[in-house]
Amino acid sequence: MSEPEPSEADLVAAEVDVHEWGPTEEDEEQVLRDLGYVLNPVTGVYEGEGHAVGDA
Amino acid sequence: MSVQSMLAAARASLGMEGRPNAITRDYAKRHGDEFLKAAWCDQAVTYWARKSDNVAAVLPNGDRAYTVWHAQDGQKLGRWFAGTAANVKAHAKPGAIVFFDWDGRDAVGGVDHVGVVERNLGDGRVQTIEGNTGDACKRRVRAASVIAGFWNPDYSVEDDVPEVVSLGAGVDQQVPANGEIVVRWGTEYVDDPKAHGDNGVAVLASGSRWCLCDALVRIGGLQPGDGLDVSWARYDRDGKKFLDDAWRLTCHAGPDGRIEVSLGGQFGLGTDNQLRLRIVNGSPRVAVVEKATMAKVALFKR
Repeated sequence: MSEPEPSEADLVAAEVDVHEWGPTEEDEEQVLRDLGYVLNPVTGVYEGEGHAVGDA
Repeated sequence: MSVQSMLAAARASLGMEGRPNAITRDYAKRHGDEFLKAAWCDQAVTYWARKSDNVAAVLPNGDRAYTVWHAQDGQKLGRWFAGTAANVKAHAKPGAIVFFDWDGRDAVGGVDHVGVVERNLGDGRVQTIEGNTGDACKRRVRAASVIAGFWNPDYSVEDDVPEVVSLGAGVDQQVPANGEIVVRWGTEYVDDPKAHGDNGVAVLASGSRWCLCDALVRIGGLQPGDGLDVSWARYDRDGKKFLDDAWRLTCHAGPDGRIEVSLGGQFGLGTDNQLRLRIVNGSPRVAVVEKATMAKVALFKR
């Protein structure tokens, strides 16, 4: 008898986001600031509309 | 339905953290409670697509929480790009669904995580919005070295998801002898709060729509054999001018002096007209549209 197909929930639990959130770019925060985003110190989120790449 | 609306939906989730959250609750509502505390990066992409009417473009095979299947959806459409620096630089557009493999492979089977491209930085990197990055929704900067691949949804594809308006009379309403009324809907359940207005009597479309409507009309206060007409009718947008009622039905009261009739209809609606349920009483008695009268109206984009 064959194994039942795993459900989407089973696959998500086994394979999605099981590691930390991945290698961080060393200059990530500087890039986000250069794009015009502003860090919200409470949430840790860079907020705002930003601007096009290359528009300082 | 646009890349702008997709990104706006993603931006609206920035700062969300922990689980369950609005994204996992929304997914669990349709797919089961096991998703309430599950990894939610792809649930977030699904949520943003649904919130922004981009389902057809972003979710061509339906909701996704499992990133590998979502990547394969892009492959099947012939839209998949492997995550090389050259591909990222040349083809990763805002709104692209971008898949990550922390082991650095460019294979669909190794996908760990997903996000949406907000900007192509032009140097083989992208700036993204991601759900479940550290159990939060944040902006990130990602290099081709961790990008397994990506695909650009065709955001010009429109969703064929109808707006549905469910209406109930709520209270009894009198129709004068040899007179007429339009039914006033006292209760409504509606996707778009702007789809029902004009003191509760009209269904309003926010654009060009095909309208399929169905009413269950209950009327009392008549004598057996009394006749009246029930119709779905179009009026001008202000509701002042009757236009037509191609779906009109003449009914006669039964032995109990009541009429119970189901009335369907199909109309084109736009921003220059509105739809009403009209009762024309040809009898010499006051008729009563009973509070249990109800209707469902579905509006499909034309």
